[in-house]
Amino acid sequence: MNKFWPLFFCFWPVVAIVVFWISPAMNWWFPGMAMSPLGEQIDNLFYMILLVVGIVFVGTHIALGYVLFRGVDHADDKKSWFSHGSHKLEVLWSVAPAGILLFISLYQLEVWMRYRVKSHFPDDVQPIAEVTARQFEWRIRYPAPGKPLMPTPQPDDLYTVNDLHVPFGRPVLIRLRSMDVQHSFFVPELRVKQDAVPGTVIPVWFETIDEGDYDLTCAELCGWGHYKMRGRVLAERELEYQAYLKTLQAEQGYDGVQELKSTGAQIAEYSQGTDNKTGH
Amino acid sequence: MKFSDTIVCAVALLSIAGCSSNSVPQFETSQDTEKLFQPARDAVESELHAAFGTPDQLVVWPELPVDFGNFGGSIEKVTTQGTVVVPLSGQSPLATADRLPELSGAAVLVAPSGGDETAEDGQAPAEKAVAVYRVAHYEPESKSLHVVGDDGQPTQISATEGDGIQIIGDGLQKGRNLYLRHCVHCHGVSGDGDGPTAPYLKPRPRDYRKGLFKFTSTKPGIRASRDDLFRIVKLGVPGTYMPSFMLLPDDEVSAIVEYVRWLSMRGELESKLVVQLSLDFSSTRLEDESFADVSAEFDEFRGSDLPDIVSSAGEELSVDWSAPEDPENVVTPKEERVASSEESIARGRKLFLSEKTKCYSCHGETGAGNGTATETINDLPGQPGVKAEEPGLFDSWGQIIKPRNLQRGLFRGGRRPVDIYRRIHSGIKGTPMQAFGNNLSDQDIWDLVNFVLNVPFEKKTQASH
Amino acid sequence: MTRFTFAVLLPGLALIALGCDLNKVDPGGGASSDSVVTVRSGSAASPAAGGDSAAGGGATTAAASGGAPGKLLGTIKFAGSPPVLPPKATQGNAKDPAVCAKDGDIPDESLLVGSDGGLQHVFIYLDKEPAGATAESFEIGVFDQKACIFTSHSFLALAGVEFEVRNSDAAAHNVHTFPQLGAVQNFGMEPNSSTTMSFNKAERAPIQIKCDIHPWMEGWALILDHPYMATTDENGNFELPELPGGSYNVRIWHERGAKNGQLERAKVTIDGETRLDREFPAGDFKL
Repeated sequence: MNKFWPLFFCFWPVVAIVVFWISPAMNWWFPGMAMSPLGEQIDNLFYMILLVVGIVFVGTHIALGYVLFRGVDHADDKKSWFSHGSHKLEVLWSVAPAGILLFISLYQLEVWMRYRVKSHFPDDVQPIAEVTARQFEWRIRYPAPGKPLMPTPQPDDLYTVNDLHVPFGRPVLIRLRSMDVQHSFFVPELRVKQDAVPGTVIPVWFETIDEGDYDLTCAELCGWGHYKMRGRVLAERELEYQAYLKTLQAEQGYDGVQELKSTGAQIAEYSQGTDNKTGH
Repeated sequence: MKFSDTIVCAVALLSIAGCSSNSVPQFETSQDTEKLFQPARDAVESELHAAFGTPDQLVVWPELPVDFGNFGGSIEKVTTQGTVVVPLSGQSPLATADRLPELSGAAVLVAPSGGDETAEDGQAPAEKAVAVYRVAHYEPESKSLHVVGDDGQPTQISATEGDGIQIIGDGLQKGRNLYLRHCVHCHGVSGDGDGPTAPYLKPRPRDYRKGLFKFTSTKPGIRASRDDLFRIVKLGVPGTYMPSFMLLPDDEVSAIVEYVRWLSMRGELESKLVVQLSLDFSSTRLEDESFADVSAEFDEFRGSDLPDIVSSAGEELSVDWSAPEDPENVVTPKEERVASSEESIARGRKLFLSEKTKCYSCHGETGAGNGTATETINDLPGQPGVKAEEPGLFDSWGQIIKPRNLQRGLFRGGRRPVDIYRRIHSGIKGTPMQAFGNNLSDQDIWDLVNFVLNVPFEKKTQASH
Repeated sequence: MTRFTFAVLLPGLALIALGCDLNKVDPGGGASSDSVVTVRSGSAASPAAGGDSAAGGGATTAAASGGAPGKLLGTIKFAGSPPVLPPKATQGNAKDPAVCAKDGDIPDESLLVGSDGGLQHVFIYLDKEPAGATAESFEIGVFDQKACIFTSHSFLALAGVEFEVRNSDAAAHNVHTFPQLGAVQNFGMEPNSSTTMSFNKAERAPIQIKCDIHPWMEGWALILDHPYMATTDENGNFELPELPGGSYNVRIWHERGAKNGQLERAKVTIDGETRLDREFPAGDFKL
C-alpha cells in the first residue's frame, strides 16, 4: 500500500509519454500533413520542441519517481534530511533552460523571417489576389488575366467570394485586408495563419505542394457569423488556374446577349475544383 | 440539510436548467393578420395550415409550382406488414437518387392502376380513392419501401401489384432542413426577415412574404426566377449581411431556393386573404358593432366567398410563380453591349444628369447617393399626412432606403454589365428605382451602364457641394 | 458544508451527470428535428352547399324586391370647418420649381372641402357587380401629371383595360403604384410624353400611386371589374351608373378616412333614382 502513491504519480507521466509519442502517427496532432514546404518546416519546429521538452519531462519525472520511491522506505520516526539549498543547482536549472530557450529562439528565426519579413520572402513571389475579409465571407479580387495586381481596384479586375484559386507548386502571395473588424486568414493544411487587421494591407505568401481543396477558416472572433466564415483555397495546375480566370472574366463581362451557359452551369464551372469536397 | 439550503440548491439548479421550453419552429402570423377580428384570424390561420402546414408537418399543395421532389414507380410486389417492393426513380429535379436512402416522412400516394372499372348501370366507373401513407424508410438495394400510416402508426398498405406509387415532399423536407440550418436565424421561420439575428442587421433581411425580390432578371411585374434566387444564395449580396454560400453544393442551393419560394407563396396567400378580409372583418369594427353581428356576417362570408378566394389565390400563385421560368419574361438586351469607351461614358454621364431620366435627383450629381430626393421628409407610404421621422425614400417593406452610392463600386444585384442593364431597364422591384426600359433605347442603357461602371474610377474632382 | 458550497457543487455535479444537456436548444434552428409531409386535401373552409359563390357575394343578391332600376347619386360632406392643410411643397423647397411651383405652392389635396362643405375625391363603389346589371363600361380618363400633381387625384379604372398615361410637364416623373392584390408598376416617363398602362387585377379599396422623383406627388386609383364606382367632384357630388332595383352594400372611402380609409359601408336600396347623402365629422378622419 505504501507504494501506491509513487506508482500512481509515475503511472500518468508514462501514459503521457506514450500518448505524445504515438499521436503524430495516429494523426491526433496536426490537421493533416503539411501541404506546403514552409508548413513542413513549421511541423519540424514542433517536433524539435517536443523532443527538447520531452527529454526534460522524462528527466524530471524520473527524478520525481526516485524521490518518491526513496521516501517510501523512510521510517516514520527517522529524522528527515534538511537541505539548505544548493547554489550550484540553482544556477544549473536557471542557465540550462535559458540556454535551451535561446537555442529554440535562434533555431526558429529563419522560418519566422521567411514567413513574416518581406525581405526574406521568396524572390519571385508576386501578388495574385487581394483577399478582403468581411463579416462573414472572404471577398477576393483578382487582376485581369495577364495583368499584375494593382493596389487599387481596376475597372477590369475580377471578383469572387470565398473561393480562392491558386496555382500549385510555386510561391504565391495574397494581399490581406479587412473591411470591418479583425479576422484571421487561416488555412490549417498549409500552416498559414495571419490576422487581417482593418486599415492595413498585409502580404501573406504560401506555396502549395500538391493540387487540392484546402479549407480556409477565420481564426479571429469577428461576430455572430465567425463560425460560418468558411472559404476554400483551391490549388490547381497553372493551366486550369488561367482558364478559371478567363471564365471569370467572361462571366463578369456578360451582357446578356452572347451565348453563355445558364447561371448554375457558369457558377459550377468556375467554382468547381477537383470535386466539391467541402460541403457546408 | 436546512430548508434554506434546499432553496439555494434549487435556485442554483434552475439557473442552470433555464426556463425556456424545448422550442419547436412555428410559422408566425403577420401583423396584418393580427388586426383581424378573432374568427377571421382563425379562418386565415386554418387556411394557411391546410395549404402549407407547419415547419414540422409540411403540407404539399400540388397546385403550387414548387418542386416538392417527386419519386415514382410501379409496385412490383406487396410483402407483409406495410412493405412494398417498388423501384423508385426521381421525377423532378430535386428528387435525386442519392436521396433514396434518406427518405423519411415524405407522403406516399398509392394510385390504383386501371384494374376493373366495371360501369354500373351505365354510370361512369367509381374512381378508386388515392390512399395516402407516410414513408418510414426505403432500401435501395432491395427496393423495399416501408410505410406507416398518415398518423405515424404502423398500418397495412392496401395496394396490388401494378399500382402506381408516388413519393412526394422529400425535396421540400431537404429544403426545410437546409433552410433551418443556414437561413432561419436571419430570415425567420416564416420567411418574414425577422429571425433572432435580424435586429442587429441593417439593411434588414428580406421578408419573403410579399413575393417581392429586388434583384431579378425578369420583367417588371414578374416574380423572381429560380435562377435569380440561385444567384443570390450562391454569390451573396455584397454590401449587406447576406453571405455567399458559394461552397454549398448546387443541389442543396436548389433545395433552399424551392423552400424559399414555398415560404414566399405562403406569405402571399396570407396577405391575399387578409386583404380580402380586412375591409370588413378587422377588429376595429367591433368598436361599433356587436361581436354576434359581425360573426354572423363572417360565417356567411366564410361559407360563400372564402373557398373561392382561396382557390383563385391558388391559381394566381400558380400563374405568378410559373411565369418567371418562361424565357420570354427574362429581360434580355436586344443589342450587344456598346464597348466602354470615353465617348460612351460621356454619353452616359449626359443621360445621368439629364432631365429625361433625372438619375441625379436620387443618386446625386457625383453618383454618391446623396440626391435631393433623400433630403425631404416624406409621408409614410400609404398614410397621407403622417410624416416619417427621418428624411428619405421608402421601400415596399416600409424601411428607409438609400439610393445606391455608385462611387463605391459595390453592386448588390451583381456587377456584370447585364445585371446593371437589368436594374436600369426594369428598375428594382420594391424600391423607388423605376424602370427606364420604355424611355431609353438599348444604346442609351449601355451608355449608362458604362458610365456607372466607370464612376468608382473617376478622378475625384472638387466636390460640387 | 456551507450554503455557498452547495450552491456551487450541486449544480456542478448535476451538469456533469446530465452532460450539460439541461437546456436543450437544437443547434441548427430545428434542422435536426424530423419533419413529415402530407398532401393537401381540399380547403379547410367547408364550402356551403352549392360551392359556387352566390351571385353578388359581398353585396347582397339583387333582391327581387321589385324596386325600379335607377341611379345612385348624392353628396358627401365634411361636417364643420375643415383644418387648413399646409402646402405639400412650396416654391422655396419644391424640386424643379420652374415646372412644379410655377403658379405657386403645391397644395395638399388630401382633404379638399368646398365652400358648402362638399368633400372632393371620395370614392363610392360597389364591391361586386350586381346580378342582372347591364354593365356598360365607362371610358377611363387620361391619367396625367401636370404641374407635378397627378390628375385626377382620385382615378377610376377597370381591371385589364388599357388607358393613356401622360406626362404633361417639362420634368421627368415616374408612376409607382402600390397595389394590394395586383402587380406593382414603377416606370419612368420623360417630359412631355405619353404611354398606355393597365392595372391587371381588381382591388378591394383604392390604391396609392406616387412619383419618387417628386415625393409629394400622390394619387389614389380604384380598380374594379365593373363600372359601378364614382368619385365626388369639388362640391361633393357623385353619380353611379344605373343599377337594377334592390339593396346593395356601398362603400364610401376617402384617403384620410380613419379606418384605413373606409368612411362607411352603407346599405342602400335602389328604387328609381336614389340619393345617398352623408356628412362625416372630423373624428372620422385622420387629421
